[in-house]
Amino acid sequence: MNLPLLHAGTLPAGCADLRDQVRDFLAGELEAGSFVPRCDSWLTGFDAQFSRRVGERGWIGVTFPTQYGGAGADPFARFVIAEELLAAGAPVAAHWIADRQSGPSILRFGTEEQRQRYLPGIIRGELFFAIGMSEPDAGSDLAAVRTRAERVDGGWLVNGTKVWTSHAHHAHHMLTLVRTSPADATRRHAGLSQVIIDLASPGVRCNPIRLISGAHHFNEVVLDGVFVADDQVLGSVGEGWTQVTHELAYERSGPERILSTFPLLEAARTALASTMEGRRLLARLTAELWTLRAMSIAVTAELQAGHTPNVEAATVKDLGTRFERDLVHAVAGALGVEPDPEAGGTLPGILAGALLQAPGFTLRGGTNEILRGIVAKAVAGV
Amino acid sequence: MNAEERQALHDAVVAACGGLDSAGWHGQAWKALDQIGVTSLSVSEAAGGAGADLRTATVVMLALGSLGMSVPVVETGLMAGWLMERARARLPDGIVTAAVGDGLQVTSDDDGWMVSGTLSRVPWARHADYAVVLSHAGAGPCVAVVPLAGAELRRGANVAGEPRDDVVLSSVAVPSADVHVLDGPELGAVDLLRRGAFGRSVLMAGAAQGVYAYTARYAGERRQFGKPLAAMQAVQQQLAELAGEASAMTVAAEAAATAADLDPAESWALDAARIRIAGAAGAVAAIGHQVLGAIGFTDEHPLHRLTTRLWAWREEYGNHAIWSERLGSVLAGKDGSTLWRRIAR
Repeated sequence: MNLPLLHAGTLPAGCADLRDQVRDFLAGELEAGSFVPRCDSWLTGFDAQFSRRVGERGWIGVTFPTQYGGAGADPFARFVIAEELLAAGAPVAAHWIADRQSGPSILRFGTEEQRQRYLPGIIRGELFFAIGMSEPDAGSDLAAVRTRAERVDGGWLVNGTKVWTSHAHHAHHMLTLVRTSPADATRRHAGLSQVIIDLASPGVRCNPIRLISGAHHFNEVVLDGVFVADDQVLGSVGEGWTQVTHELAYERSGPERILSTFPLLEAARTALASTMEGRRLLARLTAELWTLRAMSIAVTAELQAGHTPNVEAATVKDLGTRFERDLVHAVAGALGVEPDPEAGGTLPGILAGALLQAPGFTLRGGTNEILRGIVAKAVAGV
Repeated sequence: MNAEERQALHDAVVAACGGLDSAGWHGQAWKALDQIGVTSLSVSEAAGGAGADLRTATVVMLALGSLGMSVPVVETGLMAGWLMERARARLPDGIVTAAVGDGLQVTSDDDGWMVSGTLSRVPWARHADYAVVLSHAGAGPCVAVVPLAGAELRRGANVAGEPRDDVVLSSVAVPSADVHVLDGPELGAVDLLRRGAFGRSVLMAGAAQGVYAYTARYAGERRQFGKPLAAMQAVQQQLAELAGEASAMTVAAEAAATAADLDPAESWALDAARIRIAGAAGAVAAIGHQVLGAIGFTDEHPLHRLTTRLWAWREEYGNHAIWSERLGSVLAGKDGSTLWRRIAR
């Protein structure tokens, strides 16, 4: 019944220096011409070299303990790094998933041996992960996954198909949700487990799924008798649902749920400022983004305090992803520029890129309808 | 102030408001709020306030907004008190409202000052003892504490029934001590209106919390087709949207107050909060009325105390178009900075 109420806070003072460092780094990269700002760069900007350079600065896995190569920093440091990279439209897709959720899951649920094996490479920006959750018949209803892991000597044999798997064709590993016991209609969340699949293993096949832009980011990943050793099981067998739910909390609270189309607003600012309608729109969108950012910082503070703000995170993601989408169409309507996908780096090109990515914002990581269901059930107590 | 202290302050405000009379003026509550010292929290002690920060005053305004209180907390605490600080003087005793008096004639004679002209739509003028007015005397700006006892009022109201009277001043005598010619940095009407608009926004955020509380409770209790409304997905979508907007409005109010406390010269966060909050007021009221159905449309149900205030408050001290145009011009970027550097400082 209680409003999932967040309270505005401030970033710790130490964040200012870090922010300046990231801005200097990005200015240098832009000057060197290493990237062109683009929208949705955490999906569309895969650049292993760029990620390596971010890793060299110590900005991947910054919250991980020092014994694995991390900085042991607080989540606000990660927040600042993430928002600066995204606001600049920098190509961060290669390391994004490992930094955001696979790494933290391994840290939380993995064995010491698994942490030693994976975390240092993630932190260096050399080891990339994909998310193996959705399947052809398990989208919003994630518990319907059918990919099966059968017990064999020394490990498991995995058979099934994952879909919408971003950058599986580049990534090294896929943290994969599998069924280790037969489905039980009365206990749908039981019998699931998480395994780390080496995507170079025999039996793994990545088939491209092209998006409406024509670009290849998504894949169908067919797992045909893939052997997974016991030491590649993450956490406890049968606890996959709990673990994956925890992973989703990371996935739903960050700056990438509000900033995916900010590079378009930055690029369009001068053009918008030339008309009264444009200035009003600039003010409205900036006010919305400024508010969302304050909410996202508030969620980060809740996580830092050891709380589990799942409902609050769902609220921010619902508001934030709709903002990302609505920004594109509002700016398009005010600009008087025809979007052109062949004009990369210019306003028509950035606009085209944003338009073609926009349908995904309110789908990935839990559709907005699912998120609203989570919020409503919590607030009305049903 | 930490979270527990803020909660205690919120609870004290709610307790002081006690049983509500339904008229458009909560004079008893205002007296009780004065007794616990929360009517001018963010005004300096020298000017008669409590010397707290804006973020603390926001706790009080959120609570008053959530109850739909008709009290001059914005006029006294954010506007008049702030003007008295600039005038290096104290808030007068009694009920105080505030106004922009750009069109007033403020002239001096041997005995003091004479004030003539009309103040438009002054909140609670009929209940107030004084209007603290930002005007001009001679070449410079002045703050005048104008007694309202003998003034002619042309009655008006907002859609929540709150008095918004025109005050006609015909050669009203004001003692020398009550007109303060300002010598500090130039102070314009927009500076005062900004504080009024922000204050109304905080009240709106509070009102949205109140709408949310009525709506969530009703949706959980009211049963149709053998189940609570809240069990229906079409209703759930609306509840979630309402929760999101109310939460965003609250965070915007708090974040703007925090930004203004850190850097009083940086005013754009107050404007940003105003735009975000007022922009959501209509949707919040609409969802509340839709979910509560016919009962929420009646005078008997208290929902309208909040929804009518949302509709009224969002138009006061400058509407959406005015504040958007103003902020948009600031953000247009003639200083060469990026938009991002303004948002993340």
